[in-house]
Amino acid sequence: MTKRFFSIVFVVAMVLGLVPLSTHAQDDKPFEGMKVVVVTQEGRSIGGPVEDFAPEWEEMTGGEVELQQFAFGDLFEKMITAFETGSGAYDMLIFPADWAGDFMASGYLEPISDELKAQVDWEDIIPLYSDRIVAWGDQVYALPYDGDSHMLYYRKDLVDNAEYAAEFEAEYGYPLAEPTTWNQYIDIAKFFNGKEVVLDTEGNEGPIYGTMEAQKRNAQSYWVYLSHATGYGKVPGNPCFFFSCEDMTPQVNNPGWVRALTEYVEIGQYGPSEMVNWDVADTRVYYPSGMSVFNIDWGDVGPISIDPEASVIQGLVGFAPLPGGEQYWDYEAGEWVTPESGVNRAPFIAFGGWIIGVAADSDVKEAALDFAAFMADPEMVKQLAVTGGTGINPARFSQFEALDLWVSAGFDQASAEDYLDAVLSGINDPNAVLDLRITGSAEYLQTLDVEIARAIAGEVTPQEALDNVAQQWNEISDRLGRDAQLDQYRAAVGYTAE
Amino acid sequence: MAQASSDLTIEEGQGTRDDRIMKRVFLSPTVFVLLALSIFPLLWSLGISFTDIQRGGSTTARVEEATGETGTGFLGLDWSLSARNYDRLLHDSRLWIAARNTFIYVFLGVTIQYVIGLLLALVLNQQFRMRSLVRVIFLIPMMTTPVVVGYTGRMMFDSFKGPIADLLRHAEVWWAQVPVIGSDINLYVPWMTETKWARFTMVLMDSWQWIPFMMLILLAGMQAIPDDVYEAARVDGASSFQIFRRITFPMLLPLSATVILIRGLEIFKIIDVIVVTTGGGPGSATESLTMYIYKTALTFGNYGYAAAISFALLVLVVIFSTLFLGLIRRFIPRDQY
Repeated sequence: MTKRFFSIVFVVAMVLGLVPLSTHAQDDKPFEGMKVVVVTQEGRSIGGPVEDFAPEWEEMTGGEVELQQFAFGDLFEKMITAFETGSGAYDMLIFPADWAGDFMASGYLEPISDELKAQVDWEDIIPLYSDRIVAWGDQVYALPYDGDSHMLYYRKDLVDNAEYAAEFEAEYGYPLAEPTTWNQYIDIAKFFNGKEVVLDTEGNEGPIYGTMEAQKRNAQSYWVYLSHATGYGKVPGNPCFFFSCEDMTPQVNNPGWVRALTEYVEIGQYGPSEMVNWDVADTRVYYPSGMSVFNIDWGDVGPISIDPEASVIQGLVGFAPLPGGEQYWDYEAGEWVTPESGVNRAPFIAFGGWIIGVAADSDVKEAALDFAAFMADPEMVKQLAVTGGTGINPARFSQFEALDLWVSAGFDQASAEDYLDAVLSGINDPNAVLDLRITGSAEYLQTLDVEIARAIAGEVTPQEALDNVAQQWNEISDRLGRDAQLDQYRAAVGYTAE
Repeated sequence: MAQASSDLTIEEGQGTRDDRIMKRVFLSPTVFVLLALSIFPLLWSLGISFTDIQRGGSTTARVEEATGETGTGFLGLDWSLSARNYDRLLHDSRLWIAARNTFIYVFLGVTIQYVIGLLLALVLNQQFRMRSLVRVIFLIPMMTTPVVVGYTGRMMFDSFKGPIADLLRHAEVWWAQVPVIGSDINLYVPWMTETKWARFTMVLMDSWQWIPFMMLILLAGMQAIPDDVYEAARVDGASSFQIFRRITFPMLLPLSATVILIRGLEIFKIIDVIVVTTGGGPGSATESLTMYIYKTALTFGNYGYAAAISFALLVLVVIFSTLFLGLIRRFIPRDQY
């Protein structure tokens, strides 16, 4: 309903000329007869808006859009194969920002001109995205479409309930509240798991699960594990998290990462057994159906949770930045460190969002760039960010400033502020961890994905799993050239040698 | 018109020299196409398996080019170097897990599909009303694409909200009312979330799709058996089981061998259902060799190593086929399969 409402409002606004989405006059058809082939992941999330709004662009420009969608697990192969073989299969790509090392560094994408930047109001974009996420070195190769960082969702009606608070404190010795550490998160999940509670706004009662986290292999769940790992493995003041910036030694098997994986495996006990086969697309359906207290995801669950067509827990969800570790592993000192504040928060800018690039070998480059600008338009993404199921999260100042937009989308004032604060605190945290953005990032992360899945299945211990990953990461680095990879990694995290 | 052999100036089975040349001329396009489309790519990928060609080029080629040589990526004539990919696969634990899974799929899948296919063929070989309609219904899964089978299976076998889980929950309630059993019975099945069950579920889904194929071929074989053989057996007072054991099954053996071999070779290549349902998980419990090759080549970009694994799979399939054919040779005359 909400999505349809905004689509109608948006189209009406464009027709009335209130939204200057294109520089073309209505009678000008500059791309008549040109077909732009767009590729992205399957499903409504991310690709859905292309499907919805492409006809508008086609009407304005005379061009044609063909959308091709693939399962996330196959998407990288499809794109990289098209580039490597020079097939010219795709003109416009909507892809995860952490594939920049493979796509941008290799020169497969068309640089973004200053003119195009001006067209999409570049100054409005949060610098994290405009300066780093869509750029390789000093050159911008993509347009921000979606802003991304992981956050915590929790059932505030349960966590703030006085009766449960007393029971929890008696059992665990500290007050029940929004968790700030992973330990608290696990305690609360354990406390609620299986408990008979009010499940939804209708007052239906039944047993609830403690938490819900995507754990499926060959999907997007390894980012959820990484969100656990940053709290235990990110050293404040040291930008290097995945590798040592001295010699590219993988940190993936250090005690901080191992503890995170041990907990990620343990969490399976406090959620549905099927979680092991759920990706975020699944948890985004089940969490709003009132099945669990906690959920970890990108910002998408916020708008979904207030959508009456998708959620039975409207207004019951609290939004928070990711918990952190009550200790972190300092790999340089080789010891656990307890921060003075009692928590090492290190929000994870998980894959940095979906960004839009145009293939350098495209035959319809101008048309593709124009359509990219159309989809990345400030007004377009503003509307998409407040619409459930689009997969688009805020990446622009204007999206955070327009509180009334969020309220009119269905958030109450307090929830809207809570949600935007949670997203912003993740993006702005000085200890935030950017995703891996070097050549081979997809391969590094796929090996992590496989071994995490093996640990969850009990085939190997967390330590064995991550030792395997470290060995494979070393092999990948050696194969791709360790020195070149180290230079890229240093540049990606902004490391400067003393 | 047939001629008497005494009229022939050329021995039977032999043509004139011109005839032999003409035969070769007419066969040559086919041979050429076969070589171009099959043998050449095979040899080419065999060559790649002895290189370190990968996404972004080849380390060996870069070194060669830097020294002014032609950069092919070939690992060298020294066997210890050129066979690096083959040496690696011997120590690749994930590969061996995939190989184990594949063999489980093949043996379990072929067994289930053959047994059930044979039983269904026996049923459909009888005369009963609406037999044609039943046959058509049974064939529907075979006409479905594996990806659709995967998605259907994913919904059906969802231990949480799937219809099978729902049926089992109802069965639990029903069984709980049976005094002897009591309420302790637990019919929860982790179809795709536990290692052993997940592998079995993959086999079930593949079997659901391909049992009709087995059934169809075996049914055709049964209907080709002459009726007078059965009549003679009935006159001699043979029971239905004796007729099956002494006539139907032995006469179906050549066809059974063929269909088992075809399905076995097909299951060796299983990938679609797995990718759609579990993505190879939980852990690497359901990953097949084909899926591992696909990931190695297209996700990790290790073309040389992927080619080596492909050839290892080819060798495995050849060994499997040879052993199987050697086994059935004991029971079936060579000219019957």
